[in-house]
Amino acid sequence: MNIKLIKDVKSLFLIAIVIAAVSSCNKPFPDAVPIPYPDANSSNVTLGDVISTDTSYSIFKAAATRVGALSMLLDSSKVFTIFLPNNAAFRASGIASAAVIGVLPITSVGGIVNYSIIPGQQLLTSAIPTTFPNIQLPTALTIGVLPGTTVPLKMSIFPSKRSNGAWANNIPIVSPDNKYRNGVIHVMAAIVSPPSQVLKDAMYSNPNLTYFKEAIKRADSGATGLNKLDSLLGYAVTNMTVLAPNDAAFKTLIFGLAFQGYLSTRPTPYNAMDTAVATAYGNGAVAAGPAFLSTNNVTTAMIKGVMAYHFLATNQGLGYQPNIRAFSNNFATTPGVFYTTLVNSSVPATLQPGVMIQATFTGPFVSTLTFKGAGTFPPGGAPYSQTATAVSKDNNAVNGVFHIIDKVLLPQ
Amino acid sequence: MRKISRLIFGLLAMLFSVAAFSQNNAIHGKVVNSSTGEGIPAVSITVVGSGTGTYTNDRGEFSFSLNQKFPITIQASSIGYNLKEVVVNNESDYVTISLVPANVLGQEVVISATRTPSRILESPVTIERISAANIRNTAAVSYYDMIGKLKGVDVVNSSLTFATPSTRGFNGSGNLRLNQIVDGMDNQAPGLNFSVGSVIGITELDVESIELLPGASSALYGPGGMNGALIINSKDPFKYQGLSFQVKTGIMNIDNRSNAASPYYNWNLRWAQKISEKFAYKLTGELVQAKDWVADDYRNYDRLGTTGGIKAGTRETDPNYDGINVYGDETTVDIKSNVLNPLAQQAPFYAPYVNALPSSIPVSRTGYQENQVLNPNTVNAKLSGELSYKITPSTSLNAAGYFGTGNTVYTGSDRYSLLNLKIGQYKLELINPNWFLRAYTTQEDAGESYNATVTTRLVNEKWKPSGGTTGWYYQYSLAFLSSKLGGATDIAAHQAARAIADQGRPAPGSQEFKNLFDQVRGIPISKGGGLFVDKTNLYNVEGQYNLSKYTGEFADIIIGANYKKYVLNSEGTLFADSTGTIPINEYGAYIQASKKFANDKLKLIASARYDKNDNFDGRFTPRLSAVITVAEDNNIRLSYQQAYRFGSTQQQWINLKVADNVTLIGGVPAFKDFYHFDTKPLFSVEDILSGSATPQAVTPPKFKAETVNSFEGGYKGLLMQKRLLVDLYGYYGEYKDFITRRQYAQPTNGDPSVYSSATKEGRTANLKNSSVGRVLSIPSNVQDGVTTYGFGLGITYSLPNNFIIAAQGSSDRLNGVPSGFVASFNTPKYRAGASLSNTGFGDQKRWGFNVGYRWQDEVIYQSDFATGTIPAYQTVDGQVSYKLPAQKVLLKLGATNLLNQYYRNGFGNSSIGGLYYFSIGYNLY
Repeated sequence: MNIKLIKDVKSLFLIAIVIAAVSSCNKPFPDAVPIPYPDANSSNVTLGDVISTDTSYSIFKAAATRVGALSMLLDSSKVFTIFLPNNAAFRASGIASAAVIGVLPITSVGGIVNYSIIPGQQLLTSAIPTTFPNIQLPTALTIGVLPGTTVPLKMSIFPSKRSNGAWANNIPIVSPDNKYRNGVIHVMAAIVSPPSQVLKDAMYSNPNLTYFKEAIKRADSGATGLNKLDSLLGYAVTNMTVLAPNDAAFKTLIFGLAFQGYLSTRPTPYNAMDTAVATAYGNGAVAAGPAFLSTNNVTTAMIKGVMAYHFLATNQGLGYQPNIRAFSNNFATTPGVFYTTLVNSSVPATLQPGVMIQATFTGPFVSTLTFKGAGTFPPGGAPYSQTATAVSKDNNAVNGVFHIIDKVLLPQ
Repeated sequence: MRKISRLIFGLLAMLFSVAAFSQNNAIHGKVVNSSTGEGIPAVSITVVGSGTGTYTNDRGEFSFSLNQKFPITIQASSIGYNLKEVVVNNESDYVTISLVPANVLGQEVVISATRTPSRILESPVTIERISAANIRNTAAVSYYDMIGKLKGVDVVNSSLTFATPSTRGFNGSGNLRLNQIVDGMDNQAPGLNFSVGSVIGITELDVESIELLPGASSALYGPGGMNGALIINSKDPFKYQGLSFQVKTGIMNIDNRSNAASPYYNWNLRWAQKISEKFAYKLTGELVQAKDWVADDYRNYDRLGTTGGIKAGTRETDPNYDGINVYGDETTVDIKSNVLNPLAQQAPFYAPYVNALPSSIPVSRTGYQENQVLNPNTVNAKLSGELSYKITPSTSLNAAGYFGTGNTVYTGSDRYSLLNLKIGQYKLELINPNWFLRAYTTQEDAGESYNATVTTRLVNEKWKPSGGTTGWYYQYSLAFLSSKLGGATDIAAHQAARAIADQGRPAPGSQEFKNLFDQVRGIPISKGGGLFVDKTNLYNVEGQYNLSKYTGEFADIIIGANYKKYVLNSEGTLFADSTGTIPINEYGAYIQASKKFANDKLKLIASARYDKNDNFDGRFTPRLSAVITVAEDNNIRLSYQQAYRFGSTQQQWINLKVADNVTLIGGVPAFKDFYHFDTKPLFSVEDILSGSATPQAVTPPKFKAETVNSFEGGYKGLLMQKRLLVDLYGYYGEYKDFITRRQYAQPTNGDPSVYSSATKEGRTANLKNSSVGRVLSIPSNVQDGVTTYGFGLGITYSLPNNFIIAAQGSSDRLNGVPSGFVASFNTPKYRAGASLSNTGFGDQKRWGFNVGYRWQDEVIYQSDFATGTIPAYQTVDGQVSYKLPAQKVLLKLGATNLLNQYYRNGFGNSSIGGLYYFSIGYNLY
């Protein structure tokens, strides 16, 4: 091998090394790759942005601004579901303009805004179950701290869905699933107002429910703790649905009871005198007022049974308990659907299937809510043949909802 | 132990019964380099026609006595010089022998291929050799690193001083399939199992030769050599005398993203003295001090026990982040099922909200990076000495001790800090060219070594326990829920929750952290800390006899045998030895016959070996090889050999709880009773994870030795007027009964339905839940075989003026891996390298240099610690040296990874950058 060739080989080799070394670098070490967290929806507009700019939301904007909630809704590291009353909804609820917001007590405004927001989750209507009655979710309205923890206690809202629409509590969603960068807006037909009282306070102060109050008292005699209906009505962390017969309903029942009570002492056929005296007895009993329910004319067991029939209850594994909050729109639109009650805590649902409840809609709103009990008054009628109607629906309280009805429902 | 004392007694008795031998004439002289005039040390001087002879000292001088009449012909030979014969006429002559330097390739003599000396060109199996001269001229900072530059070799560096070489696949930190034999002693740490060649062993100035046998080699070296044998021999104090030292000072960690630039120190000392023709001794020492490379792969790892893979995520974006080199974050809990669901039961009005959260929310504790946990100072001190007494001119009695201590980092199933590790090897041997008898012991003490992963997890627990209503996870979960109720997205809530749960967390580097850490790492693993106590020892006796003088007519025959005893002693921290030490006995014997045919053109060698271990059936292993001389200095080699390995001491007896509710146990039957396999059945984790059907109770099969059948062919020869050395090989191997680990779940109540969650996440979470059961990782053999094949080619060309140019390439492939089987092949398909060097050029040949380039392909790296892809990488090493002959000083300026392009060669291991050094060596030979 000649020297020139060797030199060539040598230089080629050196060149090869240099080229190899310089042209290709070792790959830099790969770093940990952050997991991308896309915004809740592909939109550049935050909830705060749209509330600020959409003129149909101007009253809500004013409200959110007044209570300092708007900045939270602009934050894209957060996510919210808003049951948002637009201007039409505010007007439907009696707030005509943004100016009114300025004069309302700030706690009321805060309640309206915060109660319309579910924090930390985007709840699309597709995720709302159609099962009875609804789901319970916390809102941004803080009412305390979960005992023994640092977790805030929030006022709950109850979204629901059926084939004919979706609601928050009893308020229809008129424009669902408007997605923005950090959450979703469901436009509401009216303000979804936060409750401020427990059932006990709300019902006991209702001038049409004085008999109801007295009936509770009688039903509770001898009971203790949460076995007392009175305690239940005052127990803040539960959900109840109470069908509250108004005073007129009780008076009708009491009149009838006294009337029937007298007649049952007379031989048949009754003459005109019998009827007149029975009427006087009836009038007398009614004149005694709610106190009549504390007298020996009625038994505790009877009152207890009747009152238990007015508390809807479901069995979620621990026996029948008053643990649902059913708004009028949550009930069946078809006839013949039963809803179990607290009576079923002692009587099987096969024997006493509950109260038959039917909602009739006009548009997204329930126009009529009717109830049928097993018993009739006067007794002996066909079961579920008498219809009670709600005269005041969807009275939402902290621990439940009550519907005022025009008849006392009888379990047998 | 009794057997050994008896042996020592026997050796001593022999020593005193041997009569002194007589001496008459004396010869004095000197050997010099013909071109520079400097004395050449360690030149072999032999009297032609007799076995008498000596070596030159460090000045090139020699003198010896003999009872033979003048004139006498003496022969001077040394690698790198032409052999020369000189006639001495009378005693008064001062003989000066001038040797002509000659770079003739392929002249080395190797021993390990056949356990008898033979020319490297005639080796029946592939062999690589590194000589002391190669070490002098290397750019590598440690001779051990040179092994990685040989063809077909892969090295995994766990840290600066912890390198693990292997050949033909199956590499890994602390690889168990390559026997390392140092001065005749198995260099494997008996308890820790890895070979400690780079930590303990021969010091750099004391290395005479390194021979590497790639591929199966247990026919001669016993169980274990599935993937080769590395044989390192030190310098005979009779041959290499005088004082030598070397001081290397360097700088490393330049431009390191995890470390500031730091110095590197390596001091080496060797002293050998020949007191008389009968007695010589040596003392050597080496001290390395540096700041270690840092393992800094912070990518997110999806882990279950010893399997897993990289996934997306950072500490900020994955609440369950588990960084590869981040420790403490292996602790993970599903806060959904463990905290939030119970909370929702107490506060049912939050149940729908909690239900709307993901079905499982695994969260890991906040970890600490490796460089925040491990002491970066790496120290390695080696000390060794030998006394050598010639009972007869050809029979020596040697007593030697090798001791090493230091700090290094090792990757096993976790990262381990080997802190103040101490390993001593002590031997006594009688050596004759025809036979030897050797007894040695390896004494291991893990010192203050600890498991970095376990220790950091426990530091977290010590600071703030994970469980309980004041625990980290409860705080985290409440803070998470509170943030959610404040509107935060899930990830924002996680970040806020971590900030709250981590309030007051000891900062990395703080005194508080250090105190906690030191406290935990000092408590043995068995008592709930991170310290592993390991004082396992090995005792070995072996002998070999060359029967050729009796059987030479028929064939050359050697026989040998050995007996090994392991005494496991970890005080229950590593092995199942909480009640006392565990002995393991192993013995073996071998025979080899070789014969030449057809005018010595064909040489056939047959070897066979039998070994038996207490815990394994006896194994017979054969080797057949042939060397065909096709022309002078051109040989073709063919071989078939079988190799096998018994499970390591850990694979036999380990009992160690590791991350994720997994306990590693050994394969011996005693564990079946210990863990009550009869009453508490095992279920395959694979079955549980696949979720395909109801898992069936399974019994782990008997644990067997692993076997490889290997076929190899090769050619080695000198071409082009002996200027070109070509070495090529191809091989094919069939592995059977591969030893791996299989994971079994053992439910506490015996009922596998506890693992029947609908989702894989749920099943994984249950497997990790120690209140439900445990996962046992049991060594087992893979039924199906895998095959490997590959080739290598190396060419070396000797240019004029001492220049040597070399290039090599090799390839290893794996085939037929059954699905679900983790082979840990860990070997690139291709690797290549080239070098240009000169050991003496320019004025008086004072200059030397070496530049080498190496590239390897990407590797899918699988290990118990972590699994992932290592990208292809390249390195360039180089050095320039200058000799001061009069002062016997060698100055060297060198660099490894000259371009300072950081790379990792093991997944989860340290990133290695450039190391630049200057060294001064005195009397290097």
